Amino acid sequence: MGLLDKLSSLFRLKKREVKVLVVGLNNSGKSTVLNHLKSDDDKITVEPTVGLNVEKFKHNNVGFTALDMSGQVRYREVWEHYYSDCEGIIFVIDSSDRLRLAVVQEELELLLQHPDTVGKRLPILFFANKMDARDALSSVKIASALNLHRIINKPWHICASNAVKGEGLDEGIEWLTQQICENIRKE
Amino acid sequence: MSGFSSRTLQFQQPWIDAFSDSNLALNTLPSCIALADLQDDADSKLIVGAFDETYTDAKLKIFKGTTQYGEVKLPGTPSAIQTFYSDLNKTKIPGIGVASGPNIYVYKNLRPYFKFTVPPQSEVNSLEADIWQQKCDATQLTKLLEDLKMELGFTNLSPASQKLLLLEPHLREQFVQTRGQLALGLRRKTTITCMTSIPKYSTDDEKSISCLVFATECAKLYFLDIQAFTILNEFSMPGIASHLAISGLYVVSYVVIFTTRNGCLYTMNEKKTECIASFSAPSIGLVLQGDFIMTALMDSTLHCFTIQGMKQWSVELPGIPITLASIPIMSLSLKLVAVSCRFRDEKTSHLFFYSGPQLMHSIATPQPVSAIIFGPYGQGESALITISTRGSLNIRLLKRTAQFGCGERAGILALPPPNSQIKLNVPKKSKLLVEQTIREREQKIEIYEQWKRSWLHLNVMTCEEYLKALQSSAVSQNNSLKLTAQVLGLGPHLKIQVFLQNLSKKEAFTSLTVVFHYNKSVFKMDSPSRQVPMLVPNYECCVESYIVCEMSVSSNVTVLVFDEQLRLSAFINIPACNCICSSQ
Ligand SMILES: Nc1nc2c(ncn2[C@@H]2O[C@H](COP(=O)(O)OP(=O)(O)OP(=O)(O)O)[C@@H](O)[C@H]2O)c(=O)[nH]1
Ligand SMILES: [Mg+2]
Repeated sequence: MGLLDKLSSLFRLKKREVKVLVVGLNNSGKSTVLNHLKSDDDKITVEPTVGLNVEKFKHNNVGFTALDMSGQVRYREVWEHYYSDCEGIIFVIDSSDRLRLAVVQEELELLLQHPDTVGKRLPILFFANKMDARDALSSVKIASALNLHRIINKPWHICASNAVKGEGLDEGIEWLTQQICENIRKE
Repeated sequence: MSGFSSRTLQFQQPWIDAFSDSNLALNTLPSCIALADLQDDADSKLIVGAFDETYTDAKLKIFKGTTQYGEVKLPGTPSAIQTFYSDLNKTKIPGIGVASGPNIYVYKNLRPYFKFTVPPQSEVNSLEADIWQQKCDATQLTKLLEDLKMELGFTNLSPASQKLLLLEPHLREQFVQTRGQLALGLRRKTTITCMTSIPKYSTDDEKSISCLVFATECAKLYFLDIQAFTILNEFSMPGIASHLAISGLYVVSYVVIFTTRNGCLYTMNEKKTECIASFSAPSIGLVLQGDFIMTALMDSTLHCFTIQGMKQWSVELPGIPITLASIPIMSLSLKLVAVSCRFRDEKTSHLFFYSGPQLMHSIATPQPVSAIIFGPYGQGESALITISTRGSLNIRLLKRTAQFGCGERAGILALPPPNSQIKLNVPKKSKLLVEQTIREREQKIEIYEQWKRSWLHLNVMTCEEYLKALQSSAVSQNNSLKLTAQVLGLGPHLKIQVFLQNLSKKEAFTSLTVVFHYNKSVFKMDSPSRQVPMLVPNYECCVESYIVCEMSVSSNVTVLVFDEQLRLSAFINIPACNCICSSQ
């Protein structure tokens, strides 16, 4: 972790913030994930997002600016406008919503085929959220259902989470920070 | 470069196959399927009124996502299902109305909530009551009822009489003995054939209070208040409705649209009933989109009318239609109609999507689809839910980037020609046929002449009728004549100018007359009738006439243009003028 600490102090020095895009279908728990990552006095009651919200949080001394996109059908076309201007993507999936797994796949496909993401080594973090739900699929099952292994030119990681209790979130954000730092170092 | 970028966006299927289960054995009717947010949690559920092959053991099955989530046993086989909102509570829990026989069972929160029974038709034929009271034996009674059946029709008899006539002869005696005493209370029960709902006070909110509307086997239409469960209106229908739709608002105005079993399409409101069309084949379903009514018929045609009764278009369907449903795609402002068709060869079946008369898209389905519903399912995704004739459930979700009508047509054209493999049912050579053939061979000339004569006769008759129609309506000719009039002057002396123009390309008007019709006590005119010179095409002619006001009142002058019949007329309002020219 020595390297990581050094890098994060580098960030603080430059007052640089990491910009991430949080996408996923409506009701998957994006706002709940971010709400849990925020410091205690910023917490709100989560409502369905309209358009998008900008949220800021700190994790291991790295400052994050997260764009909390709305996942409703009519706002999904907004996502692509922010692909060019982010350093990482958090894709939240409701693992109990089996019906819409095919929709998740469709949206992921659109994301991966978009000109603004195609050539970039954008790290993608998948949260298989709502792992506490009774009929939730495991993260392994979701990875194979979405055929994630075909993604070869972008680093990706999937972890099961429970956004209400905050379980699994730290592990995921840790991975994302590391990937983004690597990308910055390479620049 | 990404490994996927090479995959070009060639043919795009607009639907995502989200779920399908062929082992559910869901037997249902097109009218027994609904979508509703049953718990007010923004998660819309699928409601299916299902029954087994023998039409017994009926159940209300509720699906959430990909799993069955609840089930309620129904007391009878459902004929229609309609969800509705009946209260102003903060949590909007819809009621599910299930029509079954003469009853509507209402469920809320998946629990029985109310049972409404259509009032029985008390006017059992008095003759029928008399027959039962005569206390004669079963054979005699049966004979008398048979006679009555010929007179009234089977469906107009009471259930007791119907049952007696359907019983095996040896069981009738016993039935008459046990039933004889009860026969005094003969009543005709009815059956609900179709049901829909209409918003009561406002159309802004889809969760606003509504009324149930249903039609019965006795050719009656009822409006049911679902707050108090009382009948608000009752109408007699011109036939037994097979499909029902309604447009409007209960407290303002509404139009009921229905098809009857004998293939007629009607519109009906509080004041009048109008037959829009009578078809040669029964209708298999009815869809209302705004002002347009779409219906598919058993003879493989799809028709569109406006609510006002104007025919819009009709197209031939590629197969035999089973059911149809409205597919409004708001994001594309596209209103499609899905028609499920099967083909004679039984191998393929398709869902066809029409936008107006245009075929936009089709999906091949492994089994013929017997029920279709489109709407928000689950977390608000637009879903096309289909149930096949063999009971499998299919859920397709609309892609966010869906486009219709670009490139899918190739798939449609690849269909087998619909009538390619029909085996003609050629009858065997009977004696009659042989004799007929011989006769035709021997007397071919006479037969041919006879046929030719009737053919010519038919031609002449058609021409005569056509000519008569042309002359009596003369729409085309009226259209080609244009009349404008103006009044010059301040009074009391006025000049009226009538301009007549022939707008047609070929016709010339020869003997037109302009006549002014006016109140003799108000005006005086020198020449109230004027001959118009021949009007050649495109020529404008001006007829001028002087008129003098003799009284200071406003009045009007009618201008009439005719030759053998009235062609045009115009009213000219002439205001009152102050100075009067007294008549000498
Ligand atoms: N059981 C369970 N519920 C969760 C979890 N995460 C989120 N939820 C619930 O899911 C619902 C939707 O969460 P949101 O955070 O609003 O979802 P969203 O992705 O932001 O939705 P949009 O803003 O509409 O795109 C809320 O009621 C959350 O309480 C989880 O891990 N477990
Ligand atoms: Mg949100």
